[in-house]
Amino acid sequence: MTVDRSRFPDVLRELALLPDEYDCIFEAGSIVRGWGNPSSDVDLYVITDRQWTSDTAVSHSVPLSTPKVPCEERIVDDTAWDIRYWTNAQVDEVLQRVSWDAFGGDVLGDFDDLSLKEIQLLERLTWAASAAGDTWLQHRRLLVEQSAFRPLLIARALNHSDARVEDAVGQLKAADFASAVLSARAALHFSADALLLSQGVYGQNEKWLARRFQVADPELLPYEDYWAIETMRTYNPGNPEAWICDVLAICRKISLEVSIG
Amino acid sequence: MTLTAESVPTVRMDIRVRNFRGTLVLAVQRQVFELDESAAFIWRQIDGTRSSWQIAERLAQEYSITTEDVMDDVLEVLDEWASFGAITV
Repeated sequence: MTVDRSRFPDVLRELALLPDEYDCIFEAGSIVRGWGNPSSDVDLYVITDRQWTSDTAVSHSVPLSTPKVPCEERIVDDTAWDIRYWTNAQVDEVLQRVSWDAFGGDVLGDFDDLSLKEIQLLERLTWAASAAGDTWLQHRRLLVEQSAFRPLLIARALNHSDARVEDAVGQLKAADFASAVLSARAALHFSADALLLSQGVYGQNEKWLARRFQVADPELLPYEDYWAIETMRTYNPGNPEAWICDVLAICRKISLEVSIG
Repeated sequence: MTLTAESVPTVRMDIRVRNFRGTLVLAVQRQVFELDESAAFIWRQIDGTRSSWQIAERLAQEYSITTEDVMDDVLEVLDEWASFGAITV
């Protein structure tokens, strides 16, 4: 599907959703990645110097000096448009929060103070398509890749995986196999996320994990192998421990081989 | 338990391992250990089936020396890991 994004500024202007001055408009949802479907939204970001205000905006909270990101929703040609307005200062501050100084080589850190909205913004900058202000987008994309954002996300994912592995091990010892299966599945998802991040394929939303695997097809865990585990093809209800141990071994292999930094 | 050449080490399932720019880091509870190149090589050989001798053979092959020359070092490293619970034998 070809999308003519050059019309987006005019559409926003007609809807009275375009500030007089802006630096960039970019689209960054599943449609841009080629993963869209008839229910997909158009996810737009508008970057400004002054914060957007309107009677219809709702705000998302972010842990920044300016703690609100105004958002608008409209239906355009039968498609939902979600428009988020970030200021340059907010984007700069998020980039500071993922600097190498902030990371500090803490490979066992949780980095849970980074909010989902911040992570989404930085991830989306890596695959976004500009509708206006492409120079701004390319520059910020470069800054994201030069920052510690990816190592930080990998460390975070591995730490979450470890926590679930520890759960699974404890549950196995208690012969609580059903809980251990669920913990192992959760561990796998975090480990898989770390693996895909290491190959530069971002995406926090679990629903896109298979798509990300198809794009990356990592040698360490090829798509077909991942999908066999995800769909539990080798799971034997008579011997759940074997499947759980196999999954935990994969998680450990990923921790061992995925390089942070 | 005394480690011997026949001992088969197994990595504890819930051990935390990180690869930070090619350097392996182990974390057991609050203790963190950075592995040098040969220790990292030994760690990678532990699969729950190889004996300490077989691991030493692989290390010796990697560094073009004899297995006998590295056996004591391998046992020393494995013993240290076993002492803080990173592996079981």
